[in-house]
Amino acid sequence: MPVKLARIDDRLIHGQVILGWVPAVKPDRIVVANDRVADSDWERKFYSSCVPPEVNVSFATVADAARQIAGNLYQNEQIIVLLESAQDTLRLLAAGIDLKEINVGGLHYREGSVELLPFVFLVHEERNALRELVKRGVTLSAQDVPSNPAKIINSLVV
Amino acid sequence: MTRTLAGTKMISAIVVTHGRLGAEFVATAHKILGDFSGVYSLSNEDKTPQMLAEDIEHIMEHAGSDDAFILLVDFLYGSCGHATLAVERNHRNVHVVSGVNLPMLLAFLNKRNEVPFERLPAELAARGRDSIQSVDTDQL
Repeated sequence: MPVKLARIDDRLIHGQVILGWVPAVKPDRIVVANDRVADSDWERKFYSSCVPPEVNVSFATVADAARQIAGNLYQNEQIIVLLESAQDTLRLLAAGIDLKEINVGGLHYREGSVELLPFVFLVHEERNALRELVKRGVTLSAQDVPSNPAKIINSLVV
Repeated sequence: MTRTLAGTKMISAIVVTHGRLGAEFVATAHKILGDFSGVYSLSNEDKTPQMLAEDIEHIMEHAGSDDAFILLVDFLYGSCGHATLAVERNHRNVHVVSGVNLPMLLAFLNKRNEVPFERLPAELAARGRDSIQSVDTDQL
């Protein structure tokens, strides 16, 4: 399995990923699995410009990312998969991608959300999606940056 | 929102940064230059890029309707950059300048009434860049 890190973060590519996780994971590629960005020229350009030249980056809808990973498109690479939400992550797994552990890196406060950790706020639909991930045997590891401790949050979402 | 440059009365700035950097830049500029208006700060703390973009739009809507805006950003490659570029794309009189530092903000305050909006972003970028030097006391 080439997926070295699957991360839920509503900022997708940003400083914590580039300055924290990329040096820790040393991926060959970052795959942004997001329907909106896959369809937005300027966002693809913007996020590409955030990534150091030695790391490849690709953008795909969640469905296409699932097909690419399942079809071994990245079999010779170590990849980081970035997802914007728990719901998108559930769609990736439902499409046949088997992930044992998912890094919950940042879900920010929105109207109606409840704080689980200072960097994890959940609305009802998100909690349901995380609960479903736990049912599928996924370990949810909340950790914003590699230098901070990880906290397993499975028991907090069921 | 469409505005014509002919109707532009004032150039405002929003300093968009991580943490409290923006608020402190503005507070420090007040200590140096005293009273001024039309300069705002926003933090990306606890916000998605979309929420930050909404906050920028909110400030713009409540400022003077003839204002043009320079968005000064600390670090382009992240939520501050994403949010400000998203706003810039939707407004004619908005321009993003990244790498904000104190000399750049002070230059904005000194030049916004002298330099046309079209030229101001490049001047601010140059001023911010010029202030970054490796200093050897023997060569001062």
